[in-house]
Amino acid sequence: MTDELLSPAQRFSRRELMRRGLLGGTAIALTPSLLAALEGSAAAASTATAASGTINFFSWQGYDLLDEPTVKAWRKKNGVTVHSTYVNTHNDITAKFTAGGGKGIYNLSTYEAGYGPFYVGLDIPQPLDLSKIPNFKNAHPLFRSGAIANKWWHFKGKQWAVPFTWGIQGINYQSDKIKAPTSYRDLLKPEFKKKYGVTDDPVAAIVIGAHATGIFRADSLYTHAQLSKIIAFWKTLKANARLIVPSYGNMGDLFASGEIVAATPGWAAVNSFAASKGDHAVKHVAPKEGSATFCDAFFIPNGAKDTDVVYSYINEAFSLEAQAQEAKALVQAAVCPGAVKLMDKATRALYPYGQLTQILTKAAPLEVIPANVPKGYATFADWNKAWEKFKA
Amino acid sequence: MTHRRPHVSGLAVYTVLLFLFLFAPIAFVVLFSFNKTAGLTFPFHGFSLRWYRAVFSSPTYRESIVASLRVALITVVVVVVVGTLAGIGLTRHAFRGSGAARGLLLFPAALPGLFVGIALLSFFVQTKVTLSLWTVTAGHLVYVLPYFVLVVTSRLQRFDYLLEEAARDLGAGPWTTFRRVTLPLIAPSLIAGALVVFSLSWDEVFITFFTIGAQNTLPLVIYSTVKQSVDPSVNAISTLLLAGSLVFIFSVRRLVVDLQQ
Amino acid sequence: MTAAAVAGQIGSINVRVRRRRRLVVAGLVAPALLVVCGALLVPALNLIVQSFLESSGYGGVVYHFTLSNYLDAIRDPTYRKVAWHSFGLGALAALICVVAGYPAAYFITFRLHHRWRNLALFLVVISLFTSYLVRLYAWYTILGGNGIVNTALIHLGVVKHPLLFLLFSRWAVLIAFVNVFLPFSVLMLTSAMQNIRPELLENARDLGASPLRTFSRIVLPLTMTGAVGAFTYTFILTSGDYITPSLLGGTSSTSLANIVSDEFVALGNRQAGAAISCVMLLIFFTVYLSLSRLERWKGI
Repeated sequence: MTDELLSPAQRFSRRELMRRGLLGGTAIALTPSLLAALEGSAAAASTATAASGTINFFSWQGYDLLDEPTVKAWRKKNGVTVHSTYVNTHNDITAKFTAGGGKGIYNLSTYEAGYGPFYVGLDIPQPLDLSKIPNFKNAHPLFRSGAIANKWWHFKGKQWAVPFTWGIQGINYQSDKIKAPTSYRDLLKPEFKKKYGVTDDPVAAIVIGAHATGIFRADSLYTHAQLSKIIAFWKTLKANARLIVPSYGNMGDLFASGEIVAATPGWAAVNSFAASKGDHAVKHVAPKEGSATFCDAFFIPNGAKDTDVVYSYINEAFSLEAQAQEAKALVQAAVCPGAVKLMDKATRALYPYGQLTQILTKAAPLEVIPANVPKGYATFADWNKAWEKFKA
Repeated sequence: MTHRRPHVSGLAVYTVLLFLFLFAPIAFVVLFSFNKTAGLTFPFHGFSLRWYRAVFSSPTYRESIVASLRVALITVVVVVVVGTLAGIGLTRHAFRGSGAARGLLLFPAALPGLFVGIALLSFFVQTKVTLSLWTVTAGHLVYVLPYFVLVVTSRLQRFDYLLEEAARDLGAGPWTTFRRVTLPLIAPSLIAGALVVFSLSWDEVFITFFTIGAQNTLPLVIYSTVKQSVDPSVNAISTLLLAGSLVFIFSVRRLVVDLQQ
Repeated sequence: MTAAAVAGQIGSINVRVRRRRRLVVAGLVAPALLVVCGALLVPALNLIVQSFLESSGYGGVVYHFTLSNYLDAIRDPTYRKVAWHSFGLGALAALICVVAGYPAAYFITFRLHHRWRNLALFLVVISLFTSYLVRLYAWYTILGGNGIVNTALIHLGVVKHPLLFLLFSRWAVLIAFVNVFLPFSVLMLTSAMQNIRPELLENARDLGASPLRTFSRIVLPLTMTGAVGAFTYTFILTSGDYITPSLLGGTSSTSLANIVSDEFVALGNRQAGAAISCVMLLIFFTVYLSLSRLERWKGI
């Protein structure tokens, strides 16, 4: 945005960088033989000047990478400010970039893997220039090419988004008040009556529900009867629930104020949200029936301005140090194998990085929304409608 | 009249309790704005100004306040001009259709913000208008206009037209009459109406939620904060706003009283 | 010129003057009407048109006349259940606001000295100056498991465990609605009561009428407009509120207004949302018409 929002240190470094860029440019014009010697500083200058600016972020709280130390330092060094607006549900992202006036205003957002083709159909993301994100090469091959990548991030000949984090959704619980639940149905026990929440996250809920009712399918194609079965499962959970939790951020508050001792669908990042409110005992667990695996990718919305600074920010997010810190702050998994050795023991133990391929393809494949639905199966609209009825 | 005494004190106690009920939430909002920790429930951890500091140093609050001000001020100016003219037109002479016009101008007050919001959103989507603070202002205009028209017409119905006739007899044209006779006399009502309009627009969230683009007004920031992760900084900003509106009302009252003299 | 001709000439000038005056006056009202037409009527007409069209995908529309949106709105059991709860809660909140507002309005109008009355009304107005949202989530502090009510009840030994139904339930929504709309009700009733001359009440008492009879025969009929106004205003705005139920309602967090809002935002189905809201409008209109008839009621 404008200079007032930058600290004096940021403003100073920005002026410095601009001066260096100008000098570099003049020297190149005047003395071609010095080109080689100056190339280094000119290139550094041009990347540095391109990197400064404002990022207008619209997505989940935490994905704007505000707390990761190296990213923080990088922002300071390059004069980058991040303006964030957070969403409560994935539908908020859909709404904002269709009718909601978000195109042209926000220049960075994310989508969860399964939403890729849906969003491309709605003309939401713009094709990415991977040459501007060299660090993406750090990511595991699974995320860059192959069957999974070609379904959700690289199709129709273009790269629509770059996956930077993944995780699992199970149950969050207050570890100093209850033991870790081993099954979703543990919550139905009388001691938990009116003490837990059901999160308003239809996709995670339906995928988890499919696991819990034993009819899980990796392609997310369920008949209407199967969908009703899943909703019936959630209705039994709703009967004893204290409330329907409007957002994951709100879940952290509810734990901290003691209104609930458990919630599902969960998100490991809620552990951090609750900790920031003084409750350090919230943990996340994947019950035995299975959990929903999600994978979020950065995308640049159509009509975005200042895409250069966004590209450099995304690039920074894929550096190994940043990936390690993201894993720690979000309590989620990194996509870059090289980042694992940079993590501390506790963070490394959170996710089975050694079995990545098996995890993402067989054991707990990515939660996806139904696409190209043949007749007789429930569409994404049917899922949303069923969830509306569930909440009512 | 001793038989009236028990009756009176019963009503008095009831009224006091009612006021306590009305002000209880406000009292707690103010109290917890000074909480040392981020909690909004008891126990209260001691006094601190940290949330007020947070509000003042937050660009999100700053920008949303500016956006709210922009919308509210434009709304007030347009509604005062348009509404005063309409008020005069409706009360001066009964013309055919004045009843219908009056009904049309007043009925938006009977609609929940939801309708105005989705009607406008639908319309803007169809006509491919980008959502922005201007689309928000359009919604606020139609929402507050009835309230202002009500204030103006009720004032004008008590207005003594003999004063205007006297001025005209003395040779003043209609515009001069309006400027020098009518306007000063109805000014206090116009100011009161403007105040009502400002506070209605300032606090509006139902219509704004649907018609806003990527901007934020203060109520929307509060709404999304409450839905996501609320801390006493919301209490702090509300206490500040309450204090601000009290100061504002008192100074306007002063102004109105002075004008009346 | 004959007197008749002169009179005729003056007559025609008068007619022209009057016609011009009427045009000027109509012109004064025009800008305001333009605002309402442009910002409300035209969009509302568009909404009505949308309600008869078919939805396709997220945010798409097919220009094909259909009654399916209305049929779904009326026949769907979930919508009916939610509507029943939303309107029921709204009606209850409105009734409580009117009934609870009467004693306070009566006290303020007839039992308070002029200066105290202004102060009381001023206080009522002030209570409206706190942001609606902020007053909403203040109820977390008051009604929550660790809130003041539960803490007090446990301390006083009235209950052993916190009462969980106070927050995240329809009770919390009802309490919040009453808290927000009671000031409006008190103001409207006070304004209506100021039309009653105190002598009327004194005469009734002198003639031996009980307070109840005075109320039902004199106060109620004379303030019926205010009561109907307060009830209708509260009923319409609470039934169309999508924020309070979602924040305080717990598992009953869906209101009819939420469903409309979600059709638009989450489902991208403007057509269904339009149909449901048109049905809501019809219901409001019907309630308002029936209540207006009540205004002519002259007491028991």
